[in-house]
Parts: sequence; C-alpha cells; structure tokens
Amino acid sequence: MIDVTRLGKRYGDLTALDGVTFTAEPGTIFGLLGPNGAGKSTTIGCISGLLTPTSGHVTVLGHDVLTDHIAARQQLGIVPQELALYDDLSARENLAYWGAAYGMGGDALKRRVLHVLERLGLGDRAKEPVKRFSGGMKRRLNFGCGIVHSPKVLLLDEPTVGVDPQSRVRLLELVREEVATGTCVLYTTHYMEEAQDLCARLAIIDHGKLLAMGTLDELRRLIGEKDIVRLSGRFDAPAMRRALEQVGGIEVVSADERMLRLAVEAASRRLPQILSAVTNAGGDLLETSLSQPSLESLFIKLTGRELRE
Amino acid sequence: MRFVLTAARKDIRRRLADPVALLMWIGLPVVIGLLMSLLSSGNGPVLKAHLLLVDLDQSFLSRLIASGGGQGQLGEMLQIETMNATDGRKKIDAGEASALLTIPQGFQDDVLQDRPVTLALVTNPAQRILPGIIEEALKMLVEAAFYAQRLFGPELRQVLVTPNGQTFPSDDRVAAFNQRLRTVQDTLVPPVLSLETKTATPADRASAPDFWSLFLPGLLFMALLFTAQGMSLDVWNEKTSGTLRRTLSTPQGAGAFLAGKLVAGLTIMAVAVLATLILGVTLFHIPVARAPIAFAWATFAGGALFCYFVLIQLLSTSMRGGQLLSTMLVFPLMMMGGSFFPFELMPAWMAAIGRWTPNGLAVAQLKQILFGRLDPGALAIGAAAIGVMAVLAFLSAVRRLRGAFAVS
Repeated sequence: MIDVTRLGKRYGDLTALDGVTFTAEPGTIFGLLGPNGAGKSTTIGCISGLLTPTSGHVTVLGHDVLTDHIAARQQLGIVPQELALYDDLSARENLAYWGAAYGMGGDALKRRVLHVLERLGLGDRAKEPVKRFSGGMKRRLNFGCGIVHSPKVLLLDEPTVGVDPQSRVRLLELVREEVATGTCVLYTTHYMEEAQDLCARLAIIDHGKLLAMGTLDELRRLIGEKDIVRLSGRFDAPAMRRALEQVGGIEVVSADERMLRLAVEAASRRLPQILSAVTNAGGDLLETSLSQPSLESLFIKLTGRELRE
Repeated sequence: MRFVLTAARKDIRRRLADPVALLMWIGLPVVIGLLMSLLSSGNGPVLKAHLLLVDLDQSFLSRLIASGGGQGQLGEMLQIETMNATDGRKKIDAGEASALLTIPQGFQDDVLQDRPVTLALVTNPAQRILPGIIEEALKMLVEAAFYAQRLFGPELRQVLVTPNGQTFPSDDRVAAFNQRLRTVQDTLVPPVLSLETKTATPADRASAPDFWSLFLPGLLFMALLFTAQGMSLDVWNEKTSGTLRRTLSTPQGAGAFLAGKLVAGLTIMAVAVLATLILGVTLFHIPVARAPIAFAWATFAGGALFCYFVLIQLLSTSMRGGQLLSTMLVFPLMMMGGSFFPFELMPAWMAAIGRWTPNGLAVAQLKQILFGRLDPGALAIGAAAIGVMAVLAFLSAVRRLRGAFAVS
C-alpha cells in the first residue's frame, strides 16, 4: 500500500504540491484525477524517489521512500507517461533489462519475460527491435516493463495518453489483471471516463492541492443531483451572476466574459427560465449544453473549470 | 555488480546497433594515420634547402665551399645558387630562399694565415627545418676547414700561394705536401672512425622509432578520445528517451547505471586497443612482451577519458551544449596530446604542455611502454594520477546524475 502524508514540493516560489495526503490500498486502484500541471506527475516522482519532497513523507508497504529507498523501490513498478524504452533493443531485451534492474535474473527472469510478452500480445514480435513497433505496441511494452518484476505497488502515470482505442482497451485489461493479483495501483489520468471505470477510490487534484477524495459514490454525493449547464457567448459576468442568483436554485460555478457554468437541479426543466434571465441581463447567447452529474461536473464545481482546459 | 554487467551488455548491444558510429570513432584515426604515412613515405618530391651564396672572395677555398656543398649527400639536401650581394639580399628578404651565405673578401688569406674569419649567414624566419639543415652543413664544413688548416696549413699555404703569378704549384711544393700527407697516413688510412651500414632488425626498433612508432600511440588515443566522447553523449539519449528516470526509480542507483556505461566503454575501447596492438605487433614490430601492459594501460586511460567526458556532458545544460563543449575539447586535446603530431615533432614548449594533458600523459607513457625503457615507478605514478582524476570525475558525475540532471 501507498501512504502519502502532507506531501509538499516547492520549486522556488512555485508550489507544485501542497499538503497532499492519501492512502492507496492493496488490490485496488486509486485514481489521481486532474488537469495537466495539477501535480499528478510530481506526486508520482515523489513516491518513486526521483524527486525529494520539500515536506511530508511517503511510505510504500511501510518502507519510507527516502530513508529506506531500496526496499521501497523494490516493491514499486512504474509506467511513466512518456515511453521509456530502448528502441535499438528487442521487446525481450527491454523486459529482461528492466527485470534485472529490479534484481531478477536467471531462469526466473527468462520465464517471467516470456509470460509478460504473451500477456502483452507481443510474443510473436519478441525479437524485433522496438523501433519497428507501432505506437500502441510500444505503449503495451512500456506497461510490461513496469510489471515484469511483479511489483506489489504499481504507479501508472497517464498510461493511455496518445494510445489508439484498441491498445487502450488492452492496457486497461492489463491494469485490471494486475489489480486482481493484489497489486496496489496508483493511476493518474485526466480522462474522466477511465477514472470512473477503473478506480475504486479517487482524489481530485489541482494546483498541487487535493480538492476532494473518496469513492465514486462519495464524490457524486458531493455534487448532489445537480446538473451542469454551460452557456457560451458574450457576457457581463457580474451582471450575469446577479441576474441568475435572483432566479433562485441556481449555483453559479464560474462566470467570465465567454462562459457561464451553473449547477442546477433538474436543469432541463429550468432551462427556459435560465435563458430568459441571461438574455434579460444583456447576455449574448451562442451555445448551451447540459450534462448529468458526473466526476466531470464535480471537477467543474470544485475548480470552476473543465478538466481538459 | 550483476546489474552493472547487464547494463553494460545493454549499452554494447545498442552500440552494435549503430555500427557506423563505431566505425567512425575507430576508423577516422586509421585514415588519418594512413594519410600521414603516405605524406611521410618519401614518394613525393624531396625538399631541398635553397642556399644563396655571395662569394666576395672568389678564391680557391671559397669556390671549394660552393662546389663541396652541392656534392654527395649534402647535394641531396642543398641547392646552392651563386649571386651578387644585392640580388642575394633581395631574394632572402622576399623569402625566396632558405638562407643567404656571404663569404667575405680575404676569406682564403685569413684561413691560411690562421686569422679569425666570419661567414655571415642570414636565415629565412618563415622556414624552420631547412635553414637548420644549412646551418648544420656549414658547421660541418667549418669544422672540416679547421682540421684541414691545422693539419696541412703550411703546405696549403705553399700550394695555394704561388709566387710570380704561377697558376699551378711547383713540383717541389706538391712533393712537400705529399710528404706531409704520408706522416698522417697511419691515422687517416685506415681511418680511426668507421661507418658501418646495416639494415635495422625488429629488435633495434625499440630504440629507433620509425613513423608508426611515433604516430601509433597518438592515433590509438585519438580513437579512444572519439569513443569516449561519443559514448559519453549516451547519457543525453537516456535522458531524452526517459530511460534514465526509469532506471533511477529502480533499486539500482546512479552509480550502477554509470558503472554499466563505463564497463561498456571499456569493453569497446579494449577491442580497439587490442586490434591496434595486434596490428602493431604484426606490421609495425611492436615488441610482443610489451603488448599486455600496453593493452592494460591504454584501456585504463581510455576509461578515464570516458569518465571526464561523461562529467562534461552532465555539467552541460543541453545535449547540443554538451556535444559542442566536448567537441571543442577533443580537438585541442588531440593536437596538444600527441595524437595529430607526435611530441617529438612539436616545439618543446608545446610538447611540455601536451604531456600534461589527460590524453598526453597517457600517450607519453604508452610510448615508453612500447618503445622506451619500462619504468614501473613512473608508470605507477602516471596510473595513480589518471586514476585519481577519473575516480573524482566519476563520483562527481554520479552526484550530478542523481541530482539536477535526471529531473531537470
């Protein structure tokens, strides 16, 4: 299991992580959801020991990543966001190298490499140099290099970025297979659907801070039954806020000159009322959309902006 | 240790996947060596020193100098052109000759009367070697004239200074000269000194280095410098491909990672050194008994060069910067360190500096191992100096790798 306590990381004046605390349990996937630059990769860097935290501490299966780093790293498998493979070597050589980096060797390593190659669906391409592989194959191998030593804790840093749909499905299957063996997985992503599908528990992070944490149901309860209404056009933001608040039962999540985001219960029924208030207040409306309560709507409610912005 | 060997094997496999780079590192010095060998093979036109002679004396002795300098072995090195003083001065000022020799008026009389005499030699400052040849040849002639004057002074005076305007000396004077020659015959014939000409055997080569003896150690280190620089750049490839960060997040540290690269570098360098020494033993008469220690020395020094270059890469802020900086260092190091020009052909001050460059230190010692007297003490001191510097560079590189380099 991973235990992160009041983790902080600063680069000069920039606070990359600010008091991040969470626990990821064995045999589950803990999702860290946030936009680019939210602090997900910094969190992974601190857990893997690549980055030294400014404050707080991290343990992996009880081993402190700073003071007992060899034991802690021995239990960790990492699948970085960017491909980290040797293009000139074959898939088998890559897996064998990363297995050896975790202390494996001999027949055990050879057997494990063959097993992982089969699981990745690369058994028939095992001896080919990786530079001849497609992007999806490289992604799968990148994942395989992180699990070749059968780690008890797996850190997956946006492993499906830039992956074709077929490879993505296969990768997510592989992740589930790892969890089924009791592996604790920390999964960072900015894909809401992935987080909803995979993760037993989730934390939403932005600007280095955890904004919310819990199971999917717990997080959904935070937003209640409210839908998210997005209005785009040209607006006088303060005037819009005043007009919409007078209507009642409407929560203005964010308002600027181009976009209004509102949290409204039974929004489809109240939409005419909302549109009328906006136009009466001088708003020039171009587009309207409505979404059911979801992680995305929670994220918008918590941060005032879309996850992919 | 097992991981170090695994990492080394991985790097060697990657190197072998790019054989062109390997061939460049090792092949370039071979090409340069062959070109230098061709240049010095003597098949081209032989350079002659061009000596301008101004003979103000116009005597028998002064003409002897002019004709003597153009004959025999001296004739192969000297081209003598006689002219008047004004033209001679113009030509030497224009840099059109190697030197200008002026024989003063009264030269023969002064020599015969045992009076001090001065020959004026003006050399061309733009040339270095050819005026030197002329100077040496003249010293030889002056010495010969001194001994001739000492031995045959009175007789020569009688022969050359003929009374009543006679062109040839009288029979009496020739007979007296002949008598004088007979008195020194025992000394001159057979001569006390003899010149024995023989073809050099392989065993003699150790004390008489030829072209390859001069150039081979330097060329080998040129290959090692290229290899060390090329392989050091791999830390940037590992950084940009993400494999460096991934390796550093495993239980293996930065030290094991770099040690793997060092072992890979040493292996490739060892192959290059071995190939060079096999060539040297079979083609260029390197003593077989010296080869093992030469192999160990060159490989060890090559590993040290790798450590220095890796540190340079890690201290650079970008791959391009690292490449530029290391290239800017490689070429002066090759120039100064005896790779392009052997120390023996350098000006003394440059050779003195060059012998203290990281590669020059190793080249000088390798020459001693291969062709000179093996001095275990000097070898140990050299090894310690190179070893300490390499260890410091390696530790600094590990520190840098673990710190800012990997995560920046």
